[in-house]
Amino acid sequence: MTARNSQPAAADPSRSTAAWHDGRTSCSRDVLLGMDSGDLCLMDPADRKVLARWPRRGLQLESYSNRLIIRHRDEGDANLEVTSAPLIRLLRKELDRGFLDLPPLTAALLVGAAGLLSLLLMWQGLDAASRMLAESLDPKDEIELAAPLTDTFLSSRCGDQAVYDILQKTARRLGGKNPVWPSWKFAIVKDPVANAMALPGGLIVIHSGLIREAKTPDEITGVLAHEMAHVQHRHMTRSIIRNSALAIPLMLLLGDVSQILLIDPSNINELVARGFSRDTEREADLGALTMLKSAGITSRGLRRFFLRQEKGGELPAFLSTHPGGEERATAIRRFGETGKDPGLSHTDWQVLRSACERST
Amino acid sequence: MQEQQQESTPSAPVGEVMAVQFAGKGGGLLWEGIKCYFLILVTAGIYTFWANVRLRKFLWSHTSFLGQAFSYHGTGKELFIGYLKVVGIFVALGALLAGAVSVAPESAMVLSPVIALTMAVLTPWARFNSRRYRVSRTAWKGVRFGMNPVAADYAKLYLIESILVGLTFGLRYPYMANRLYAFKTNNTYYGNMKFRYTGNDKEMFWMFLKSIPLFVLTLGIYFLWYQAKVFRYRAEHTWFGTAELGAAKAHLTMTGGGILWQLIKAELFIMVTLGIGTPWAICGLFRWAAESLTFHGKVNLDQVEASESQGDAVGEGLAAALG
Repeated sequence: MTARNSQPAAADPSRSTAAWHDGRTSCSRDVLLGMDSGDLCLMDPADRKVLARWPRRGLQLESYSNRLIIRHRDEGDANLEVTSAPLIRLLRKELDRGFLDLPPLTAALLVGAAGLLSLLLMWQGLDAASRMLAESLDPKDEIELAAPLTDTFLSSRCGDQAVYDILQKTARRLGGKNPVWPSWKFAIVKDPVANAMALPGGLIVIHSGLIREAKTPDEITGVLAHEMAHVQHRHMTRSIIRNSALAIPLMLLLGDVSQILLIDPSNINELVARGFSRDTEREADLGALTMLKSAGITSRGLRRFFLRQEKGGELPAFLSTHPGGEERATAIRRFGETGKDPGLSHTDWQVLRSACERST
Repeated sequence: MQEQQQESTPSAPVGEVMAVQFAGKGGGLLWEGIKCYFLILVTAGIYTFWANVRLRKFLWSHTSFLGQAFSYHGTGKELFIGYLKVVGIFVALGALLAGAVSVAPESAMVLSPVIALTMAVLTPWARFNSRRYRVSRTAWKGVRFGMNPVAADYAKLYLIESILVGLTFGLRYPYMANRLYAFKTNNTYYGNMKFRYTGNDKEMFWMFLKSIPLFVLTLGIYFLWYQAKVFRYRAEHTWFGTAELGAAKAHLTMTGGGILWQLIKAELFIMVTLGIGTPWAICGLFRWAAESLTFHGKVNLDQVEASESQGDAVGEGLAAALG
């Protein structure tokens, strides 16, 4: 930073000065500031002689409510402290080009793009990490963790032991000779909505409305296979892990949001709907078809169930977290025939239908 | 300086009064916080180190002495590298331990006390170095503060005093606190100007002893008053200066009632504003604390020469990890 003899115009016509600390002693010296050939010039207020030149490149500006601090990367601890409001305005306009030395609009676009990319990467990373964590979890631990939730559903289920023996028998058949999941639990609950859900720990909850609306037993077998696939792929556990990870930045932003980590049985439908993405639904559909095929059970019932859902006025596929019913039915047709058997005998089907008959 | 240092009891402030001020506004701090949270969010947490620096810069730059603001020179990169080094140390130690235990399971019996002792030494070492890092990144009028590289001596003093406090069932605690404060202060400097602490262990001990019945009678509430007394005593015995440039000592007007009132006021304000008012409450507390502190004496603060000031962020990361 060699001083030249030229006399650049002072940045502020009112001759406001800045305090210059050279970083070698604590002595504070008043200087006038001016720009010359892109350099910031520090001038003696008496004769405007240039005392030092700080090149534009390398200048670092720190703006605070009442002062502007200017440093230069080659000047060590030296700094300029500006407290005059008109001079601060002038210097900011002249020197502060914002983030990464870019014009504000370009900087804003860059930050926005970087933000979106980070969010995307974070989302994908979270998905992969939650899958890995969920799969590394021992099924026994998952069963133990979900025990309070399982107990809540089991205590309010309807139907006698014969009903659940039938479901266990069907699950064993669907699970094959080498089942991925060690044990299954079922609960038929009184709810008019035609639905079923898979919860962590291998609990499958079937609404009485689903059994009532089913035209044939293979619809129930198909849905059962689909829910079993959700459990085998640990979808619910993955979803809980992902939501917990997302809660950390939310916690930073909003304070305590520990409530969203709690599994409240009364909100379980919402939790299930929020937890499964289109991809996990497709994965469960494929898992169900594979199970049905190995057991020789027809997939027509599952296809019919999805088509009926589509007619029932669910959200269009692109708006829903689940793929559309028709899209899923087409995928089942494309997979090909999985078997002929409905999976449940006529007698078993009648027992299931009467499970909650009296109260629905 | 020497004559002034020999004074052992707080005396009425003499000489020029030099004020400390805090000019930070809650709105400014809130805006900084929002920017930091956003960047932490989009960088999946990595920006935390840079956010830390931004907030420190805000607080330092709004604190002034004799009308000149302090400045913070630490960088997010330094903190990040410090953190990575600490992670590396822990991973290496963990791997070493796991290896030793898997080869010889009975080694766990030997290793447990070794680990406990290592932690006991590392904690004060890290705390001292954390403080040294922050002090060395603080400047006023372009000249940096600094601390001598004596973390090992500090850890030794801390360990010996801790054992003595244990042996005396806590009664020696005021001695320990006073000696550690003296050690830190006497190893602190601003450029070529040194800080000195002339507080007396015995005086601190009597102050503590006289307060014990009041702790019991007030169910601990008196602790705030005791703490204020300790702060005032420490301030009255903290000096800085050189033989050539003169000296000044601190003076603190903080009282127990003042601390209690400020804390209640801040807490109530945060509650009423549902947390949004936190930056204003923080700024209010800083402003009050700064206004409570003045320095008195005759000292030429225009001729202080810069001296080498070092310290890396490993201590900072380690202190955060060890708590």
